[in-house]
Amino acid sequence: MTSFIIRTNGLEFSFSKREKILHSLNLDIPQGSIYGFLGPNGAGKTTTLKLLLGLLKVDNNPITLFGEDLARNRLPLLRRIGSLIEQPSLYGHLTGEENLEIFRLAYPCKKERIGKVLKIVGLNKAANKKAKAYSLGMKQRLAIAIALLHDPELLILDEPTNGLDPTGIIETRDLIIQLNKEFNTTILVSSHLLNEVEKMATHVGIIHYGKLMFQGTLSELQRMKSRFTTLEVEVDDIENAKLLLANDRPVKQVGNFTLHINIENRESLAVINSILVQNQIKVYKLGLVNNDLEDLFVQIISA
Amino acid sequence: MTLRLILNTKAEFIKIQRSNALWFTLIGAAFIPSINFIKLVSRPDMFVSKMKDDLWTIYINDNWAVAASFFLPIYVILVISLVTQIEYGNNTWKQVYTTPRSYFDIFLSKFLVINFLIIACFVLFTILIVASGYAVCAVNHDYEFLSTPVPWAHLLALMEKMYASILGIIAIQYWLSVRIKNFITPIGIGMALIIVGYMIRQWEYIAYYPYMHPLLVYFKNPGLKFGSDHNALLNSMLECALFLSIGFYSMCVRKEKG
Repeated sequence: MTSFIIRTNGLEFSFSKREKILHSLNLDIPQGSIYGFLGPNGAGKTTTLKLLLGLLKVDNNPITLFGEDLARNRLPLLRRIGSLIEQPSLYGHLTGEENLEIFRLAYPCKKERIGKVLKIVGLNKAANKKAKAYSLGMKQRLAIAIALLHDPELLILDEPTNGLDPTGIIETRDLIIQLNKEFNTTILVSSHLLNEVEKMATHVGIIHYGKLMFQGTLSELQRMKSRFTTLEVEVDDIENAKLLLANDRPVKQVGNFTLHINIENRESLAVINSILVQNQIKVYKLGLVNNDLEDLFVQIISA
Repeated sequence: MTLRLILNTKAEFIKIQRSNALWFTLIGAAFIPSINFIKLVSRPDMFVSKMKDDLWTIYINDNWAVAASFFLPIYVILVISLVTQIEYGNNTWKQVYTTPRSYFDIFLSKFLVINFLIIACFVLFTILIVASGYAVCAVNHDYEFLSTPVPWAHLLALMEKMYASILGIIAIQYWLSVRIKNFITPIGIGMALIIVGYMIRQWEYIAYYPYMHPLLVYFKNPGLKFGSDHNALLNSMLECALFLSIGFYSMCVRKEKG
């Protein structure tokens, strides 16, 4: 039986009575997973993560971490969690090592951990440099080092690759995968980039306007995504093409000569092409539309 | 609990290393004695005879009178904002709240560090009063600081009394500075309350007004009821307890932390 590290039961939240930020969110995050929490900016990702860490107050105790109620066991539960919310929280006037020492005293954990986490994130040579002199990538890595300091069972990372250059993104992604594999750390990582999540997550949750639109394994998401692949066709006789194709599949006209057609597999592409050619319709373009997050949302919502 | 508080207070001390709050404390403590040093050295014709009778008492009063009337409340307001801004400026409150620390621990450890800085400023100020007196004497032997005994007991009593007189201001400013993200707002409120205090200083209930306590405790206040200084001292301590409780409650019930 799957054991869930994080469970929320109908989690709702609003800053004011008029506008609800989260609508009955039921998150189930399995132990040992890398859970990609996906959604566009403003979808409610950071709010959800802040609620999971007790940074925002919520009524009715709908959050369970490690099988225990967060509201009643905040301090013992926080001891088992490492986190990075929004941009790195560092004391710029202090060195990397001093930053770690502050949080080492707060947990508290052994002094050797400082050297260990600096090594894990590759900052041992910059340990005595002031944090304000770090590059953004180094700051992000130091913030991850702080999150790792007490060897947490659960890591909550809010857009950890935000603002990083391609090398930084790859390094952070590799680090997340390494932590999960080597230390069996459950990692909840939020992002607004579908391809980023696809490269590291084992499980995915998609949030849109505060509602959980999808939750499942990465392979379930990929199956769903392929079901909603969009084909773009440019033809000379758009009306006839629509008539011929619309019976068997959803067809949308997006220009004077262009149609978007939802297809389920590669075979459908060949079938569509032959239908059009056999009916003397000239085909100028036939290609797959990039299935980005926005499209996926639209498709999931309209499904 | 006590061990955790000690460890977290130690962490708070690391945070003030090389911080503006620390530099401000060091410079603040040296400011008035330095000005008085320059004053005495540059105009011995005016001050040697004036200070002849009770050299140290007059010199100590020259320093403390400025501090009590204006400098001390301003210092307290600024240093508290500088300490709390270490968290706001670095966007670290949220990281602090996600560590396994009780709200009481977070609130108290920072309050202890603030008080350490203020007491350090008092001690340094006192040492620099004496040191600047000796320095004046080294430059101009007509001032007899070296041959006159330093009234340490008087200096110590002054420190104790003046520290107690600012406890109310400390608690109010701490509450405001933890509650308000903006650096300027708590300072502006504090300054405005000092100005209001000066405007109403002859008010019969002025002993209940925290921002005038240092003034009432240090100076004799003609026109006010006998015992106003004693009442101000007592009220300062009571207000400290009251506003610390309000500040702590405000931290606990805040919907969004960090």
